Amino acid sequence: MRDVPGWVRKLGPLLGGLLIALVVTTALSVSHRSTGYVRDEGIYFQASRSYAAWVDRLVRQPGKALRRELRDRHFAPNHEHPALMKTLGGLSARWVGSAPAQEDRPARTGLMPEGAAMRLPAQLAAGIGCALLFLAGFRRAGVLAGMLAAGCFILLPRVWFNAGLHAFDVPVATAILAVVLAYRRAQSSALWGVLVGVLLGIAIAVKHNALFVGPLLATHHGLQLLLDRARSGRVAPRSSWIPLPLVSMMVLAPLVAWLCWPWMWADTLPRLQEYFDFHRQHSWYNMEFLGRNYNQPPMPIGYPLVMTLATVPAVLLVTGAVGLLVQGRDDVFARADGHANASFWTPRPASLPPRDALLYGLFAAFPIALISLPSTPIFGGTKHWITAYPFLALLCAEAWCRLWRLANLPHARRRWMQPALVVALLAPGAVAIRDAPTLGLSQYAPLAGGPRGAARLGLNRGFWGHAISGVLPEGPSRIHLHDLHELARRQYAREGRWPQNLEPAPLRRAEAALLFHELHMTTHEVDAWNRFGTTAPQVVLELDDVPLTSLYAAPQ
Amino acid sequence: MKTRWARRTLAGLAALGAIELFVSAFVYRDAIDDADWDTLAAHLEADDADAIRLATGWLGPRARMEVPALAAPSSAAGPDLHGIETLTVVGLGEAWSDALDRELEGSLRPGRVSVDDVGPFTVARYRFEHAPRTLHDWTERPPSLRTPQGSCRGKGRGWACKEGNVSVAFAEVDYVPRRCLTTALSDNTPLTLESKNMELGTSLRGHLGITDFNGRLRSDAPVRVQTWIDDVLVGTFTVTDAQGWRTFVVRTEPGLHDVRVAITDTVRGTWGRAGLDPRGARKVCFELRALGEAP
Repeated sequence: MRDVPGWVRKLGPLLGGLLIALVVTTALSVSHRSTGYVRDEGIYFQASRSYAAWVDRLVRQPGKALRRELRDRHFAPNHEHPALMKTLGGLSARWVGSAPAQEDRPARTGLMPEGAAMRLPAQLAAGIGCALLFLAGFRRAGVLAGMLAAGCFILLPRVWFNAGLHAFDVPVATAILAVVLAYRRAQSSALWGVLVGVLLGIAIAVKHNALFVGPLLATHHGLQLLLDRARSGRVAPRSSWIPLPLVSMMVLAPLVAWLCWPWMWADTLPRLQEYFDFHRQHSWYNMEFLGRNYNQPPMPIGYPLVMTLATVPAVLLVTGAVGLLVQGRDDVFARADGHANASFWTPRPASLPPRDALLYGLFAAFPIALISLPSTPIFGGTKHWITAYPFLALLCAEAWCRLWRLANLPHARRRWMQPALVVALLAPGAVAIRDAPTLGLSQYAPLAGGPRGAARLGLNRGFWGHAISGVLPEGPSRIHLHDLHELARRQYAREGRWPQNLEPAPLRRAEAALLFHELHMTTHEVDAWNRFGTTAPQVVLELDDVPLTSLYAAPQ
Repeated sequence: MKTRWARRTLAGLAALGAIELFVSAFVYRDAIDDADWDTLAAHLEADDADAIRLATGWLGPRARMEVPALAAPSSAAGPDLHGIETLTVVGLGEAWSDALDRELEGSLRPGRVSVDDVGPFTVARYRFEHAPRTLHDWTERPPSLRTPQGSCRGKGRGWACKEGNVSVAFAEVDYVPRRCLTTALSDNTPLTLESKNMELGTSLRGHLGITDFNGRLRSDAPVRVQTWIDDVLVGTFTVTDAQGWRTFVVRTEPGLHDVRVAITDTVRGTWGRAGLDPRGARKVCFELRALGEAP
């Protein structure tokens, strides 16, 4: 590094992060062209068009657009989720997506299909998440640690799958990561102390998971104060008890979130109440777990933990655990003698230990613990604790940093051992993605036995009605869509990807029927048997022999 | 000490990663190819077992698509493993399963006669000792049907009664497909099923379940089943949805007898979080067989 110019040393990591963001976004964009539209996306596509049309109106006729009736009309669709990602998706579609002719608009030829364009902002968010992880890892222990952190996140098959969708789960994971990293900087920088509130507002505007971030960071701050006192016997100055970052999050975050969500501009309190009620009393999804279908709480407490073990390569879980163990131990026992400089503006100057592993551990454990609670509605999908995974990645980077430092190996040996270990850590996830680039929702970790092992264990095979590649019948027909959402089908049709003569129909009038295999869908499968007089499907879409989707029709 | 621990941990992580990578080579690929299915279909074509069942349940859709013997209603939606003497079980590396144990409904496992490897599949043949035969099956030879308003008329694959419809169809009970007489009649209407001079053995064995476990946030009203033999009431069973595929058995004297069953669905509809939904999709699924000692 001695011969490297100073500007390269400064800009190098940023350029590295930028490159990673670019590569990840491009790879997701290309790979997910073949990924079917999941049920939720169908709804988000429609909402996105509506939200983006309002932004368009705002630019052209701000007075009219700001009127409540018009604003409410545009933002009413899917108002149970914040508008930010859907608005960005809609704008992306307007800027770079193709669209068919409408009554009031001619057809538009863009750089990519409309759905792919709508997915782009979420894919970019995943790229940014990887860049942030790279930078955090790089600061800790160099390029390989950075690449390890980014890879530990994006090379998880479930993360890869969700990262490519027009949805909020990976964007909110990135946003929460950004808030936590900003909070770290805010310990010794007043500017970041302000920015952390703005970032939290943006995170809340992405998805409600971020509502827990403020209390968690406050918990971490309180824990630090207690540990400082325990280790040094001295109490931090009162001014640093509720410091700028926490105040900023309390004041700025709600304002920013509110600004990003025009639906909330009117009747704020009742609508806020409706929003909270919707998620608190969320409908219970069906979810198969160890051969049993659950559709009312409580889910077994171990569900998220077992599913994490079954879907994340074991080597990454162990690495993360090692990181938490070695660094967490040091965090707890670290001396804290720099209290004198702590203040409201900079609550933890560099002289105090940062206790990062506790921070990352808290954010890695909380989403899983929350879903484990018996009172939590059954959400089912692993995406609901996907916000834990960036912090697992950071813990892996911590482990990397500490272990190599302690191992004290000669440079010559480290030169080949370190890249080899990065490959060993990341390859299982990468191979799993290569096996199922578009079917990641049905993918399982190697030690769970992959899809076959999971099917044997009685774990869910997918739930979003998107796996239809090669299943649709040829020739004119009426088809029962089963779990494929009609709005997702319309999106295929808008893009010319739905067979022209294939019409959706209720099962009793259908000539063919899709069936997405889940335990609780047996009812619908049996209905198809009765409708077509056969138990034998005509086409079966499989992942490593495990049936995901069947097409039923009357025997020829 | 710390140095050695760190080195060992790094080596351990590398080893674990390598193991996972090695395992990936086996789990992330198809274990069955098209030719394997063809071979299995040909192998089972000549199989003369009383029943053929799949041990690896998750293979079901592809297995039924490729192997006609596994698509047969008795294989895909049989009532249980009673009334058969010989059984062939097909699995992917397994010759039996927990699901088959449940189908035994308390009986002992059959003795294994042979096990063959057919490509990646295991085909195991079993024989039940002293198994009763199925003498009469109402899903194969249905009885006459009537309600208080008169006899039900045959219509297509079912019957039309004044108070609703009955058919021999597939139904899902407790997430398992069954072939049975499915009934959907108005509240509290007894459906009477009757076979005159039916050949009986040592028992009448039947099941009743309530369909639509997909919508299962409920505890539905019970269904009553009354059984008469030669006009003598020999059994009354009250079944709720929570009991799943409820078995009932009535001991009988071998010979020809008049058998009559009355099924009364007390209140149709399904209970959910919002209360009773009278349009609920539930149906009653019923099957009855006369079983006799092996000759």
